[in-house]
Parts: sequence; C-alpha cells; structure tokens
Amino acid sequence: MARPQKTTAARFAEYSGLALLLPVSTAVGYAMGYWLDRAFGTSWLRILFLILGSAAGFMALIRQVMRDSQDDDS
Amino acid sequence: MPESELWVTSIFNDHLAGLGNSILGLVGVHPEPRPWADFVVMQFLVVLFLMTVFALLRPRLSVDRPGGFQHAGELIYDFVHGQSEDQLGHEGPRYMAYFGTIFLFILTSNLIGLIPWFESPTMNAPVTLGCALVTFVYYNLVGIQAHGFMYPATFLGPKWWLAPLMFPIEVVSHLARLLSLTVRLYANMFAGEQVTLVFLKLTFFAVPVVFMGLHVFVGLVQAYIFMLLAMVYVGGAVAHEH
Repeated sequence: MARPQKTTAARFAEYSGLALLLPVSTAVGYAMGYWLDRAFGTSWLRILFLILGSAAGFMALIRQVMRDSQDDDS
Repeated sequence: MPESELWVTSIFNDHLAGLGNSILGLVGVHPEPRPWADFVVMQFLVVLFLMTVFALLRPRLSVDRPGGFQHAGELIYDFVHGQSEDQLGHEGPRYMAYFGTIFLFILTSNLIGLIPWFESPTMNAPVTLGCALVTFVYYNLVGIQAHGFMYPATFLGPKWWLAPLMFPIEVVSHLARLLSLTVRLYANMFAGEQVTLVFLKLTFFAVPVVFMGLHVFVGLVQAYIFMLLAMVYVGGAVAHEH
C-alpha cells in the first residue's frame, strides 16, 4: 500500500509532537543505554545511546520535513 | 475517608480493598489499607459509562426511524471512519475498531473531569502510559501482520551498509513515540486542570469558566490527536515503501 497524502489535520497532529521529539528521543536513548549498561555491567553504552537518541530525534525531524515538502511538491 | 480521595474511590476502598490487594498481589505489590487509586476507579467509571451508552444504543438502531441518539453515534462513526480512510486509504476501516475505542476512551476520560466530584484519569501519567503502550503494541502487531517476519527489516533503512546505524536509531525513535504519546496527553490534561484550579482559587466569578472552556477544547483536541497519531503509526507500520 502506498503512503496516502497527509491531511492538514494529520500534519497538525504530527507537528504538535515535533517540540517533544528531540528531548524525548534523547531521553529514551539515554534510558536505553542506562538499562543496557546495567544489564552488561558497562558504563559507556549510555553515552553511545544518548548520541544515538539525539541522532534519532534529528533524523525523525528531518525525515518528516522532507516527506512533507515532497507532499507539497507533488 | 482521606481528604484527597474521591467519594467513588472511597466506596471501592471501603468495600473492595481485598479485591484490590489481591490484584496488586498478582504483580508483586504489597497490600495497602486503601489500594484503589482515584484514576483506576475513574477508568472503571469511564468504561462502564461507554458500555452503558453502547448497550442502550444497540437495541435502538433503526434504518427507518433513526433517533437523535443514533444520529450522534453515526456522527462519531462517520468521523472515525473518514479519518481512518484519510490516513490509511481503503485499508483504514480495517483498523477502525481500535481507533474508535481509543478515541472514545480518551475523550470520555478527558471530559469526565468537568463533572464535579470526578476527575480526569488522563491527568495521571500511568493512564496515558497505558494508552500509549496499547497503541505501541497494536501498531507493531499490525506491522508484523502486514510484513510477517520481515517487519524488523523495515527498521534497517534503504541502504544495507547503513543498517547497523539505522536499527538502533529506529528502535529509539519508536520508543520515543511511546514516551511522546504519554507525555503529550498527560501534560496537556494536567496543565489544563491546574490552570482551572489556580483561577478558581483567585475568583469564583466568570473567569474560571473561560479556562474550563479551554480545558474542554484541549480535551477534544488531545483525544483527536492521540487517535490520529495512532492512525499515522499504523499507516507507517503497514506501508510498503516504494
């Protein structure tokens, strides 16, 4: 199934979450790293996952903006 | 009866404390003298209310003479149906049962707090986390249903050499959805309630009504956004990238 065109309402809903996206992704990344550190007895995974979390936040943000600008062009 | 407890919660705690403790015991929580929390009881009330509405609505359905009650039900059905078609195309209505359920549950939970002596269960983080968890599990199950065992492969990104980097990033971003769904609903409802309370402490005259109106609006919008995001996530999980 191809991705259908997004309605204004759907964009509104998604954009309402953009402000949360970066801090939440970073926090989740750190939490995952912390949990893995405890599981494996290491201490560096939290830093790695913190970076991955912020990367995930940025990526989701950029991906959404790019997808929506493609929708606008088409 | 503790002062902070709702009257309906105190009924539960007075008469059903044993049942509450045995349920808590199943998940390893130590027994308490008053195990029922306000938000748990309010969720029961919301579910009871919705079940009663549908139990009353079901026998009254009529093609020839639809009443006002039926019209209201059809309005909500058409709304959810239309939204799911907008987001997911012709496959949307397949998943409508879940979208309708989560929408009505959150909407009722948000608005029940406006009735005196009740409070919104959604202004408690565990409740919104529960809704978010169910949504998270649901859209992943739907993704597995659509892609089979290849579903985790959709996390790997378009280029194979990027996959080791993309996989943890995708996992983090999916888990971030869980947290953002939780925080958005909880924070909005909690803040709305607090603003109304602050103005109620300042004056009883007219002003708090404005903020109660705002609270109703926020409650409606948040229920709508939660449902819409569930649709967007299901859409992402079942979509085949071209």
